[in-house]
Amino acid sequence: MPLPLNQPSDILEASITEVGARLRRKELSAEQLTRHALDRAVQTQPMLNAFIDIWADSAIARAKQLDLEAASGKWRGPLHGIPLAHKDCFERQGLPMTVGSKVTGTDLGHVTATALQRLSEAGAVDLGPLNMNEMVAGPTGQNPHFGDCRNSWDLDRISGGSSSGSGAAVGAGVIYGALASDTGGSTRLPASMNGLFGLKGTYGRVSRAGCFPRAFSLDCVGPIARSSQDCAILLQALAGWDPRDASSLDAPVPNYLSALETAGLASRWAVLEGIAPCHPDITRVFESFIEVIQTRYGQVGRVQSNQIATCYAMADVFSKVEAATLHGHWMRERRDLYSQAVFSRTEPGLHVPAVRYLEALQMRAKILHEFLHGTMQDLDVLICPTMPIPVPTHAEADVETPGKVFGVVTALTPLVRPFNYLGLPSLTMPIGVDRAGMPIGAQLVGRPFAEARLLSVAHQLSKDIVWDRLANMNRAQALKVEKS
Amino acid sequence: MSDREHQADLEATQVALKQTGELLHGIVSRSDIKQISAEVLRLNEAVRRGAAGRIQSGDHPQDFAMMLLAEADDTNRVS
Repeated sequence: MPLPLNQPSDILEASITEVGARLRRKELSAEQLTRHALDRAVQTQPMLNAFIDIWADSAIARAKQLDLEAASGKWRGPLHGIPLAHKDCFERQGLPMTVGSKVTGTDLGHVTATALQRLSEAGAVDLGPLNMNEMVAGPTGQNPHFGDCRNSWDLDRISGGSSSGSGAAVGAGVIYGALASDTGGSTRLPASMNGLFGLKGTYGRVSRAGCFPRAFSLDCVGPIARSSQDCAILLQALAGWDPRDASSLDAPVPNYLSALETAGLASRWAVLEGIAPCHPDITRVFESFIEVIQTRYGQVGRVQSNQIATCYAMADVFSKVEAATLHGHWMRERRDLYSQAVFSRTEPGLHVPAVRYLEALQMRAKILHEFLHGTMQDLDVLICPTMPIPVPTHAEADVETPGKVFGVVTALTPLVRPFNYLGLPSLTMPIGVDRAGMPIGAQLVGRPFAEARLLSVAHQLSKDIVWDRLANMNRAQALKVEKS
Repeated sequence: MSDREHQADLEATQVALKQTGELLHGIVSRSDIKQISAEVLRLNEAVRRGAAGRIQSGDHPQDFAMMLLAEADDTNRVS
């Protein structure tokens, strides 16, 4: 049985800006909106398994408090009263955090993650922790401890990971946006697989403090949402230097929302080719999208980079070595509590020579410089598909099958992981569907701190292609019924 | 490298990794050691190749953060 979809007129399908305006005009209360989102969460949970837990009581209490504030004239901004939920790798003071694992036990959070604090200060309502791949590791959404998360377009297909619940819950119209984290594609892949926008910002743009790491040299916290505009609103609350995060960078934070109309003007584009062969459906939709870009922005060139394969390998080394460092004591003492896939993917990190790890660290600036002044010379945006293959079924991407995990990861991540090593901002946006009706995403890569530009061009291009998520989801479900 | 040489490297690495996993880390493998060895050799070779001719005495990991700031896109400004 397919997932029941929202109606286009449903308030949960409105943009954050639209629903925020209704809340502000008191046509709707935060409590009513939160109850509506909670009902949808409960309705979809048996099918999607997007939530680790649904915190109805605390969410309603918070919404009531925000309604009181609004009644007394205090308005926190565009996120005031907006229901969100977040990947369960963000620490909340006094509350449990599973990280999708049984290894970490029942310890309670000490200090709330900065990203959560900032969203709370901006007035967002938190519905609870979302499902994810065990220990932030894996691109599929498969989780043997809490159950697999399913794709909001087709329950037989993977949600993508590791921010699986973030992609599925936003895709199903339960919440307006979610926090995700991205070490090698974990924000962009579930966003792409659920027909959404997902932003991995520049390394250091959003604080990692209180976010459980996979690899601290690569991890980026960012939003998944249904439009570029909604991503801009979320990033506005999140971005900026944080004294609690040593890797946080003190760069200006523009007004992302007001920059949506102008920051992308006159952007110079090129397709980044030659990384991985793509499925014909993906190539067809992608090339049509390039024509749309050319109509708006002019000539789109074609470039190749001989650094991409190196960047992939370097990111792989960071990910495995830093994870092995973090997990070593648990791998000794609680080895049977790990899934086979996560244990196997972490083991090589114990054996990569320290010299190789340090070489990868030491030459990172040099490779970034070569990339920006070589491949990206005179360019503002590079574009390539987000994934080279269509969204796999659960059986096709079963990483617990012995010997399969390395192949599945390599098949899903070749286009996204290199940009974690380069630290460059990368945004995925939906650009069409394949022959099964499943969404296809394009990845837009900018120069450091080009988030305003990427959000702007994605905003304009999404209007140009008249992207309609819900209509496409309905079509995908109808196609599946036809085939069966 | 010939297939035969690669196979010899793989076998030698398997023996070494099986011992170092337990002796140096106190961690008993749960994986096919042949697959882990192949992964370690692949990563080792990729980084060595990438680093060839690139590392100099003055390079420091923190250069990366400085370069991100120095190369910022011109749209990243407060208007």
